[in-house]
Amino acid sequence: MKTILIMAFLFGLQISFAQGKYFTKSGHIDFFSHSPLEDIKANNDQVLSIIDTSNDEVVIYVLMKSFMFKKALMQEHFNENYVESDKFPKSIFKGTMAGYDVTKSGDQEVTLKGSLSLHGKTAPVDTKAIFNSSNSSIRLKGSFMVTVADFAIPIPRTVVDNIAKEIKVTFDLTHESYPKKQ
Amino acid sequence: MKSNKKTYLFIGLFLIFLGLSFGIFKYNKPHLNIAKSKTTVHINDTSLVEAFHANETLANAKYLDQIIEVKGRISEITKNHSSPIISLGKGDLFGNVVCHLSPQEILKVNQLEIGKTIIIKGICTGFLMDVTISNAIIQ
Repeated sequence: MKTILIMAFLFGLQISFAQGKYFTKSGHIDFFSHSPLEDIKANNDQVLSIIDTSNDEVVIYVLMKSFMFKKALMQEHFNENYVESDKFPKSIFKGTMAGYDVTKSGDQEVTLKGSLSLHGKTAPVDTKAIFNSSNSSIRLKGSFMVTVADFAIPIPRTVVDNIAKEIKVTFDLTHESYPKKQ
Repeated sequence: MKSNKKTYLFIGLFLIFLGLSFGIFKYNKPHLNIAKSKTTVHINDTSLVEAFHANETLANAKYLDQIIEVKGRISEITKNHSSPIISLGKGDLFGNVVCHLSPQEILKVNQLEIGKTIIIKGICTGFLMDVTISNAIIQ
């Protein structure tokens, strides 16, 4: 069943890309947790993001194991104890974008609304982002806050003061059109 | 009696010192050195992608977090910030092995060309449209 779904997803992508959509396989996402005891930051430059301007849809896929931390121990705890990356290897944002004109150049403020699935739980996201369109690319960047409790992430009592209740997620995604415009 | 107290105090302080040293070492332990780490899986690009297409859950259980040496034909060379990215495969939109290389591999990448067959070693971090290999180095 899962294989059929994957093939349907890939086939669907091929059809929609043939109509000239935008995507990146190397988008950037980072998160930052500030607490009086410790600041924690992790970067991920392997983000898959797809924008379909014909229906305003935005889909962003993130591999949890691709988050890189400064400290190896933090990365280990993040994957094994908190987000349980073996069990939930991906995080997915699915939503729509409003308030943009793809023919206009320069920065435009857009509204991004959708749902974020992480650690087997889903929560709504409603945020502003900066949209910048050129002939063959669309850059989408912004940030929003994520409440840790919304995603049932277990935080042990011993480190509860080391991790913020709300974590800032920042994204910077430069999509290229496909097929590439000449 | 006084000498015993001194001994206990010394042992206590020594144990505290050992505990602290272990804690600090663990907190600051370095990331895995891919070049020095033992490869757990040798595979070619087609077989690796096929394994994820066939059953992603099973492939995740088998390959996720493993140190993999993957052999394949270079279909694309790109850069993301300071890190090079090499795609192994047929060069289709999806179904490749995308290897995110360590920044220090940049000089080796400059000598590569599309179509050449190479072996890349790194950590498998999962599957989106392609299989992703992180912290990769060229063998």
